Amino acid sequence: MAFFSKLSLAAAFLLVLSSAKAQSTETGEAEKTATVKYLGTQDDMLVFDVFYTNPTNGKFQVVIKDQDGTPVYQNVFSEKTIYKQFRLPKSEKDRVVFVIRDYKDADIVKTFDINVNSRIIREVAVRKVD
Amino acid sequence: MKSIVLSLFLAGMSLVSLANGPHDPIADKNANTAEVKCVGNNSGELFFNVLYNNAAGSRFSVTILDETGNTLYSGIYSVKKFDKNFQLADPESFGKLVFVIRNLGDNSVQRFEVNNNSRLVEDVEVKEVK
Repeated sequence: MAFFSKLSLAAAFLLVLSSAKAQSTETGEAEKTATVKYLGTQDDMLVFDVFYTNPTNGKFQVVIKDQDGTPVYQNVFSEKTIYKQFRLPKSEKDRVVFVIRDYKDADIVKTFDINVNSRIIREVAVRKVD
Repeated sequence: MKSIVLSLFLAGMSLVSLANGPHDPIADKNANTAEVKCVGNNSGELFFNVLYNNAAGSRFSVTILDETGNTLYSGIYSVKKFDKNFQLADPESFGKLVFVIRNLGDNSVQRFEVNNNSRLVEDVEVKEVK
């Protein structure tokens, strides 16, 4: 009897866990499957992380466009999940657009405005020479 | 003549403050001690303050050379308490200056090297457009 009691308790615990998991998966899908993050600059390049989950396993395309709408990168993937890091040169163009297209639903578009402020720092040192 | 032009102007405000204030930087120095200071570079302008305690009232020369040894400015004075500001008309173009104060009475020479290190700093701001 005690055995069945423990078994039912374990089953109930598993049920709670699986329902929690299902809930979190649904929430994740509802939130969107694509994220694009700006990480900062490195070696004078703008670094972006792109993360995309592709639950249908179909093909999808990643396109990066500059301010004029000119593609600077495009590629087609079919992986279930991709995580890619992109390094884009700083330029006078001040807008970068990431487009993720799965050929079924509406494109996922992430747009970033880039503002580069340049300034000159001057250090003047005076020393007496003997 | 190099494009760098030095303009000299009398530091009237400075002289007034010297006359009225209790602190006299020239009097604090030993006899015939010269001092060159960078007194500010606000708004891209660069000023150099030259102090010289010419206790004997001898004639002395102030010469300013660029990094290749070209004379940018030269003047002869005999004032006992020399306090003048020199403004660099084109502060972007110089890397090094040499101030030479030569006492024509005792032939003593004091030299000051001014090094200008400028560097470009870029602040990158990236904002996602929602």
